[in-house]
Amino acid sequence: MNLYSKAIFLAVCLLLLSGCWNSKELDDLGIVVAVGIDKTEDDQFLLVTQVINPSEIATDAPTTRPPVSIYESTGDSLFEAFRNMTEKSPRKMYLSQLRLLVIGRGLAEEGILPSLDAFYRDHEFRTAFFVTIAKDTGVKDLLKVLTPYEKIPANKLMHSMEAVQRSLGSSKGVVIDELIGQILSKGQSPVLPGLLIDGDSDIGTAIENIEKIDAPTQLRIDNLAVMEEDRLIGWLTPEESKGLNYITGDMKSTTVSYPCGDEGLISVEVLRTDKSSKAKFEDGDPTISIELELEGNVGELDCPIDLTKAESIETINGEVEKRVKQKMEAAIKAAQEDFGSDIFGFGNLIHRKNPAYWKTVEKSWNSKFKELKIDIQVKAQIRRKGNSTQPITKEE
Amino acid sequence: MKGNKTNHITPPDAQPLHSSLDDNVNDLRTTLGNSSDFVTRLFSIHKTSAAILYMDGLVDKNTVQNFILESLMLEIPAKRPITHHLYESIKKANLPIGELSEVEDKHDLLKKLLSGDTILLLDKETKALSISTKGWSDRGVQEATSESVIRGPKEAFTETIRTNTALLRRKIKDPDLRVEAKTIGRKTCTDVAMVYLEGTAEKEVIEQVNERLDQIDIDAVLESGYIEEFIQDAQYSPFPTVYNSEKPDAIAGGILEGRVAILIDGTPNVLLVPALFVNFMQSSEDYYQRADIGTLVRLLRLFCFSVALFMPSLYIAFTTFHQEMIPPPLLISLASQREGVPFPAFVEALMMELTFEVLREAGIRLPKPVGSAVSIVGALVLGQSAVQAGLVSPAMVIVVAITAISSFVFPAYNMAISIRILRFPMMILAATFGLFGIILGMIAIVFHLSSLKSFGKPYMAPLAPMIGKDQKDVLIRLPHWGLLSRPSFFTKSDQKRVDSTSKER
Amino acid sequence: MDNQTISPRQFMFLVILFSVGSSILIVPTPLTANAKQDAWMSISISVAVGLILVVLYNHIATLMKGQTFVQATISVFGNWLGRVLLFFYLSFLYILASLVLRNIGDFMTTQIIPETPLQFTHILFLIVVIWGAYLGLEAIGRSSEMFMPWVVLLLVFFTISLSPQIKMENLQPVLSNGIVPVLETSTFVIGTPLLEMVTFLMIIPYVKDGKTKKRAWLLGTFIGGAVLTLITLLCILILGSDLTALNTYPSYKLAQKINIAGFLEGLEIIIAIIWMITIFFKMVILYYSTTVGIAQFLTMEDHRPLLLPLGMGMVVLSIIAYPDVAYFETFINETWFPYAMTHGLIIPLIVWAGLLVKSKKQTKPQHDRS
Repeated sequence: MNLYSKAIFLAVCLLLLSGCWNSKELDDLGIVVAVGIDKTEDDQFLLVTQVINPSEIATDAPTTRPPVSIYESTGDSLFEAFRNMTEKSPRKMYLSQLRLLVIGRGLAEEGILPSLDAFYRDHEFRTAFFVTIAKDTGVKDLLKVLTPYEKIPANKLMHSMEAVQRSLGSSKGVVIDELIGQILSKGQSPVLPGLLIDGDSDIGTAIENIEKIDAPTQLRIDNLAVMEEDRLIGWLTPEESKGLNYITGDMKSTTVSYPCGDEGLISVEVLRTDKSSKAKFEDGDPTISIELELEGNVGELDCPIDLTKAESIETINGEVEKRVKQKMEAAIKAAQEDFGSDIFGFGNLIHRKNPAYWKTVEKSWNSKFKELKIDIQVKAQIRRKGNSTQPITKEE
Repeated sequence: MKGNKTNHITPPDAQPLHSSLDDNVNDLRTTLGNSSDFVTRLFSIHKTSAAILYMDGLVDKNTVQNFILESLMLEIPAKRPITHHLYESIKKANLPIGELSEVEDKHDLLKKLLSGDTILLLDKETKALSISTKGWSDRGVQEATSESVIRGPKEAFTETIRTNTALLRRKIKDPDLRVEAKTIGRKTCTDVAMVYLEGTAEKEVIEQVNERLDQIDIDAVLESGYIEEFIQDAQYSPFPTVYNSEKPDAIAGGILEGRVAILIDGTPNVLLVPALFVNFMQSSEDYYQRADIGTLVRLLRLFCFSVALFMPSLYIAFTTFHQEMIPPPLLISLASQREGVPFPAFVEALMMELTFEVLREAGIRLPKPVGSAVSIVGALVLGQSAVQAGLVSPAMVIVVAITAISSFVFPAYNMAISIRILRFPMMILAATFGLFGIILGMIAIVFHLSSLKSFGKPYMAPLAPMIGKDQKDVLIRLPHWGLLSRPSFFTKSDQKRVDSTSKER
Repeated sequence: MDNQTISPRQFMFLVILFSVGSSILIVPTPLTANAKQDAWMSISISVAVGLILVVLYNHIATLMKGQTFVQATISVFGNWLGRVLLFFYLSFLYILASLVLRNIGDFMTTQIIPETPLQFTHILFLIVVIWGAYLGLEAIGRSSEMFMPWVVLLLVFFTISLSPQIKMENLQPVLSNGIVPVLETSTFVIGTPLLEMVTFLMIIPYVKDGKTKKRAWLLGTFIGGAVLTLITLLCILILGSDLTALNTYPSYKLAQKINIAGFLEGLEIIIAIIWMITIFFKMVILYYSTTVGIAQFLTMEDHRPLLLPLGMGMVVLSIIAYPDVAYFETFINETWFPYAMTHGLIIPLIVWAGLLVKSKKQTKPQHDRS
């Protein structure tokens, strides 16, 4: 063995024998699935984490211990609060599997950008978690609720959020880098989904909550919250939320119903939407034109209408177009008149179309947005009517 | 068969034979220390005393009886006496035996005697006749034990070099097939034969093999492993650069690719050089099954190569460094399995891998009836009970099992061993640096592999350096009518294999 | 030196890996910070400039007539003046190598193993680099052939799995701030990695087959540039220019967004493997040429005895090279281009002029005779 190999051998030994700086055994990790942040009364950050209890989830013999636990701490900064949490928790918080970030209402009204920084900077966070706002409840109460059917409440919320977005369209999931991108961009203000507790929050924390068939306390995905830059300024109604999703093209599938006849109701299942929006300039003033094409099926029919006739389909098409357009207009009206916040990203459209003009209005875009003219065209097409050709009615 | 090449092991001094028969016989007796298997038969032919000497057990007694003793003792006396040219006439006319040679030196005589020849000594002659009467009981050609196949010839080489060369001759009936004999080993005088196809094998390779074999000066060669360690290129590499097999069809296939086989008397394991990385990933059966199956199996082996090498280290790296890479449901289940396991994942893995290695070694050494007991102990006691006792997590048992099974996929046992060796440093790297360590380990292994050579051929050919036209028979195997040329990384001469018109309809 | 040679294809692979390595980590952020959504254009422009640069290098390589840059410079400018020039050239390579080492160290300790001390990451990495340089150019070339298919495969996988998330509108508006910022930022890519390719003047004499090796260099630069463009383009298309500029390692962030069927997440480590392999090759090429160059500078027969001592120096240099990441960012933005320009363009130009004069002198007497 020459000097060389000796030296390398020594170096390798030195490296390998002194190693393991970064290794964390799986049983030393507190896997955090949801984090709630808020401001306390004395202006400190409040941090609530929901940590799963793996042996309770992946087990053949469940005990009465809850599948998740909650830890709470405060600190001058979020990072500090995270480290303060070790005073209470037996394990180091492991954040890579985070599914959900719940922001308290108080904090959201103050502005969320400073607190998001911690979630974007640390290497442990991955970017695929949803950001939500706790509506009408404290974040801790919200994260404390045990959910039936799905053992991990954060997973339940995430799945519900995806389901709502996929088949109802009254809300949508927003992941953190999308949110930060929108906050940073001057031509669009973000929206965030809200979370609600249905029922008594005290009952929700007890294990009895999930022992009943009809769990008394449940978690619900609520409509979208409107932000101006990074501050919460208000809430959209379900109709307006749907309208927003139509406009931004995030609507995947939903229902549109309208009354017909005396008491009857038609529900149309929207299967696909295809949106295109453009900015136009007339005499130096921008207008936005939105074209939306819908494709759907008749989902439910409760009124005397002859579906075999082409005209009746035409009528349904027309009615659906009208209802959808109403929703979109309602959303625009709310954004322009009530909130004055460009949650649709029209500013970006104008920026792309005419960068020179954008430069002049960039600073005061939200006030300009209030006067923006928006032109909406909706085209609905009912393709199929399901299994039955006619409404099921009793001959009289 | 070419004649014996000049032997490099020169006897201390040439000792001519005595002219007196008694002196000779006595001298030999003392040299052999009155060994009980040394047989001397003294008799006389026309009043000339003669002696037949042989080693009992090494000669075929029938041959000695029927063709030597009978003709010397019965047929010659029956004819008219020929006194002054007795030696010459016996040599020319009286021994109905194929192989006959003359020896004048005591050391040569001893060597012949000890390798199974019968020696005829005549009084007043300083030359002796050495008659080839080799014949001892051997195993006969049997089924291969270490490399079994589903389809393809089942026969295996035996311990006798002559049988082995015959097995190869029977496969390649080409006049260009050369069998060059050598003797290596001062004490064992082991017969070694180089077998290759003249005109197909590259001259440089043959020369190198010759050179390296001639350089060996050792007292004993008992198995091909002795030779392998002398002639291999990379002395300090875990990877083998000499291929060995006990299957004649595999060796014949190698010879047809232009490689050189080295047969050693006394072992069924025949060496084949040059041996490249890809050769160890291939089995002769790949060529007997249909091309698509052959291809799939080869890809599977490559996959198993990486699994066997990296699986435990990846498990360690993922569970202790990069938990974010594990899908959430799996992470939860792994985490719940680890609850209560007292050892870190690295120690756990090391323990299980070591246990497995011990079990495997024990399984080989134990006689067959006891062997099954070991597998029961291994499977039940160590697998299930260790998990139930909470010493290891079930996932770890699975990982070790998959690794173990994967390492059995290779047709070449010595490649499997190198993977077993490398697995442990990889695990240490994974435990200290996570994937960073594994990747650096992998890069180091690839660099090492790329720097290796086997008899002047780059070890990773034809992958690095990349040879496009040789890809037909590396990771994939084209049908035989598509294997138009011999692999050009072994030989550049006599390239044509298949005529491209042979599959035209 | 040992008579190891590599094939033009291996050389091309080395050029590709060299131009991708480390730049892929550090290029997108400053580029999008300045040129916004037009960053990809800056890269395209600089690749075009880089190709011209490679033509110059190729010409120098022809004039060197099988000598390395170090040998050629000494033979042109003599023992003293030549060595003065070479001192700068070799120090450039050495410093560059330690910066590349620091890049990978920073990346690993920021993203993957934050609690591991920087110097140990460097030492482990450098041990393998030394091992590679010890085995020589032949092994380096062959290994590049072993890894290239994987790099390509992973890159294709990376692109395809991200393609559903592409938002074309992120590229608009095109040239909203005019062409000036685009041109300004293109100097960045010219500085790293294109001017750094002066390293290959130490390698190219060992490439077999004189004609195709020029094309191999050009093609390698082009493909490497194309990969850089592709990555930057993907960053902008998916993250948008604002987020790209916000991230220290946007290409890594990008990989975090891969999500196949909701199950295959967290593939960023696999992508980190490509980055590591490319950076490793960049490092090993730099280190090999530095040690071979220093060995020739000192007229040593073998470069191997230098590997370990220089490596020890490099670990220290890489740690003290810059105190923090912010310092590095200003350094790479402001100082690096003129620094690389001096050693990657001006010194080669001086040597080129010298070589031209020398070759004129050599050919003239022949003309006179004929």
